[in-house]
Amino acid sequence: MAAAVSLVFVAATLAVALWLCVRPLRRRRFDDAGDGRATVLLPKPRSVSMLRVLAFYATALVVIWGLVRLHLAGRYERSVAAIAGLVDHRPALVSAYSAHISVDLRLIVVANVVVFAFAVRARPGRRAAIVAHAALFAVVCYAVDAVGCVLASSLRLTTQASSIVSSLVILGAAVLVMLRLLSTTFQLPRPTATTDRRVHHRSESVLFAAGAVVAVVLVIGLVDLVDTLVGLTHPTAFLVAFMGFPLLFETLFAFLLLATRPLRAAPCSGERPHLTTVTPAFNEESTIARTLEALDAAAVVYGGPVTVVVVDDGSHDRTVEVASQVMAGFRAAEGRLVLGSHEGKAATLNKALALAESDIVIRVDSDVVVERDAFCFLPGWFANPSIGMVGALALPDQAAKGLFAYGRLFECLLGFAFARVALQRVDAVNCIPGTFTAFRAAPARSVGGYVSGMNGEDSDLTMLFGRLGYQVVVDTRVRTYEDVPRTLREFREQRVRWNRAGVHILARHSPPLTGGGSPRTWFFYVRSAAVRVTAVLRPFVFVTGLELALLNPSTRGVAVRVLVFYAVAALPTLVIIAGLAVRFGFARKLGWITVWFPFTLLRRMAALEGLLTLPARPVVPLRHLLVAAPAPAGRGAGGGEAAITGSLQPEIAT
Amino acid sequence: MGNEEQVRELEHLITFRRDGTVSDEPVAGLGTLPPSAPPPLVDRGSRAETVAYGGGLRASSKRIVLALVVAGLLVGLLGATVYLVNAADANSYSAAVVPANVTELNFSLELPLKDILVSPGERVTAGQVLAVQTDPALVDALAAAGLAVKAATDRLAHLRATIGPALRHPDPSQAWALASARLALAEARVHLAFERATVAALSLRAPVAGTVLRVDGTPGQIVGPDGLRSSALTDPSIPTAQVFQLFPGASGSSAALSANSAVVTLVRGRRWEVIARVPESAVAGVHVGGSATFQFSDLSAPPQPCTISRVLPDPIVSGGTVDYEVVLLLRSKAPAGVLPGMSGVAKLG
Repeated sequence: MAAAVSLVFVAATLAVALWLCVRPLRRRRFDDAGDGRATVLLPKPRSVSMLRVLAFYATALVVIWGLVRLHLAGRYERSVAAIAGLVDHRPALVSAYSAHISVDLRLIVVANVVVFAFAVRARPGRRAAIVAHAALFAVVCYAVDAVGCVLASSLRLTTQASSIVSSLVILGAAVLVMLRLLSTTFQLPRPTATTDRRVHHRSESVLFAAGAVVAVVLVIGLVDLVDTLVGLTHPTAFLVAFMGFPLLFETLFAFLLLATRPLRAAPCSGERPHLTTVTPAFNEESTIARTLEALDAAAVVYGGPVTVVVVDDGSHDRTVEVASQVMAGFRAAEGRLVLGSHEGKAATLNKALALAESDIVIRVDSDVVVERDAFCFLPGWFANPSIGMVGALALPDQAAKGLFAYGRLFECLLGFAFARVALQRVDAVNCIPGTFTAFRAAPARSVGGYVSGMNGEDSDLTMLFGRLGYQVVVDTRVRTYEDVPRTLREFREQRVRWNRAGVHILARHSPPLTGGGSPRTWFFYVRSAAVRVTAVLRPFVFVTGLELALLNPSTRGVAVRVLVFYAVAALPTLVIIAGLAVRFGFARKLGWITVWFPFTLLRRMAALEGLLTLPARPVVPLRHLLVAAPAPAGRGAGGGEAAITGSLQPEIAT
Repeated sequence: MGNEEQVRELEHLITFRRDGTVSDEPVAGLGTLPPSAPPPLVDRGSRAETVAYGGGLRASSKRIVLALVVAGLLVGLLGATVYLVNAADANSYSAAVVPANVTELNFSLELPLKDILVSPGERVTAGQVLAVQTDPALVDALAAAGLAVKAATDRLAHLRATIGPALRHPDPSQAWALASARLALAEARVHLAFERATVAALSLRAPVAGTVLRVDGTPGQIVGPDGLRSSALTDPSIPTAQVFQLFPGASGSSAALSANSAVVTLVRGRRWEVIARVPESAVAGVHVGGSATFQFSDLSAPPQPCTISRVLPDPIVSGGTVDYEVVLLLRSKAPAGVLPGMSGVAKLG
């Protein structure tokens, strides 16, 4: 009887904690004074110095070190065993499972949330609210681990497998808390007002669920196997964080590729409908000529009517002069150059979109060179009325060298030729980058074109096309070459922007708020938060591995094994990259594969930096809670369409 | 940068036509797209659409089944591998090899160490001096005892000479003096023997032939029956400092600080034994007298057959886990090149 009561108590605690995590995700937010359509009005993000990011990691390391010195691990294990012992009256057995919990993972997440509260620019109330997430996470951990110990002892799992499973579950809980933290902490765009007209196909969700289950089982088995074979006294949680997450997604993509029929490649022949390319330009005198010449060359190969529209966004360099010279020498395309005032990229793109007279529009950024046959495959795709958007295999400039160029090459191969190709099989591509996006003009105009006032206008348009019911595909035969950052500063600037865009899109297309339960939105929602969790964890995995290999007397002797494990952990990703490099003719670049490690590390650090640039939400003072105040005028009107429903009360600090 | 941007009051559209003509015209109202109705809905992925355009955008039931079967096979293969690996590793524990017959040798007197005359790895014979202590007072006492014997001997000889021919029939006073002298000589000799024995104890000798495994101590350190004092904290005349700990008991106890070590550790014979760390969950299944094997990690030798000798009842608590040491005796001669402490894997049962 007492055991049953205890079980109900633990389960209820877990349910309440999870409810507290999920509840804010369904709340309406009104930080954005825009219309929910093509205009977002938010405070401008503020740049963050590299010093602040490094200080975050250094402080977090010190805090983690301090927590470890407090010997909290033993206390945590004993208290979990005590809680689980209320339900399962086999103390020795329950203690054996609790003794194998990777407490370090829990401590690292808690320490990072606490340090994040001080790293972010916010008022004390908001910082306190962020710190409360650490407490919430701790409660979730206690409840999950207690339930886990009881289940593991009942199922007679091995302690090693139990440890790996619990680490994965805790990482899932960390993702949930991260979603809550993102939703409640920052000023983000309001949910899109565009109606979800997509016809949902259950088979896609079934496939996704099946793939996810297969991926989880495979990862648990692999980590267990490697852990057994290598035989390290290495914290399993780090292995899961390092190896499990990328492998989960890669297994899922491989499953999707296996489970669906490949798309029929559109032939480079047949009709040649009118195409319009739109290119925004702002101070692009050094790159615009190359871009326009490549577009004209592609128009020559295409053979049909092509109009190249360049909208100058008030450049103060020779962009207009250079563009005019090149357009005057066009062989096949008709050039149209708009001289406008500086209004931002989205407004510039919308001007170009307004000028486009064709049904198919291709957005090409002004630092991108397209292949000569880039337009040939597009008519074949758009002959299918369900295809709304076509993307290309984006590649870095082939002349570029160095860490960022090679890292970007491998990233593009993995992201476009593997991940997106798999995701498009179930209509789950969430972003066709602005470097090259071919799309139907009418649907784009119907949603107001590109959204202004936030980052990620390309991803937003992709998501909106999905809501309108169109299929988004990537054709790896269409290749484009883009400029890559040459310095760490440029790289940070680019990635911080992209990562900020990721959070903006996450809020604007939040599935709990906008509906549209397609894999496109749900997968992006979960993955985006997971990336931000691993962004925080990954540097610590490197540091801890180094510490274990060099400083810790008990594991110093197995430094080689630690390195072997890391190599094994990264092997699936490297094998996929190698296969793609050979398939797409970049086998000779594989000599630079080692740049993948520092590149991903820097990429994750930029993800954190992107978060820190977001303006924090103000906290509603306590006295305002006591007096029910009406929503401020002009705010909370919602989008007016079916997607925005429910309470319109302003969100309070959560 | 904002100040440098061009501000154009009226936007211009320059058109470069394919016939070579160029036109420049002002345009207005390009900034916003007028709202328009979305195009008719297309059921993306519908059967009709898939058939008409061959997009293959929908997962077919056959493909799903195939994928699930392949995934199931993969999971099964992985599960079988994990099971086999775990089964192969069942009852396998990390272990280390140590000499079987180890003798720790210490001095019987607590005195300063003078010198250690052997080094680790050296072969010694029975009776060989291994280390010596120093105590000038004992040496002086021995010399004094020698002198006392000499004095007693001289006094006895003098008495004998004085008594002369009457020695066989001395008068009572002479007999008393003679007996006293003999007694004094005997006492002096006993005292000398005692002092000699004491001084002999200053030398640590090998009781049997063997190999020196370990030596410990530097000249001047106090050594005695309990071995070498490892820390001044163990000296009862020095007060012990109280070490502040937030969580007492979480780390090692202070007993570790007061542990003494032997001056010379000697290995007798060539027998080796293996000490394996077995977790508490498995130690109940260990049977003394049962068979086991030991595989050296880095020594190219086949698995060594062993016999489970004993289970040490002293637990090793580390990181919340409790292990016990199980001692295995190697049944055969150890392979060449074995050194104390070499690691490996012991498989019990």
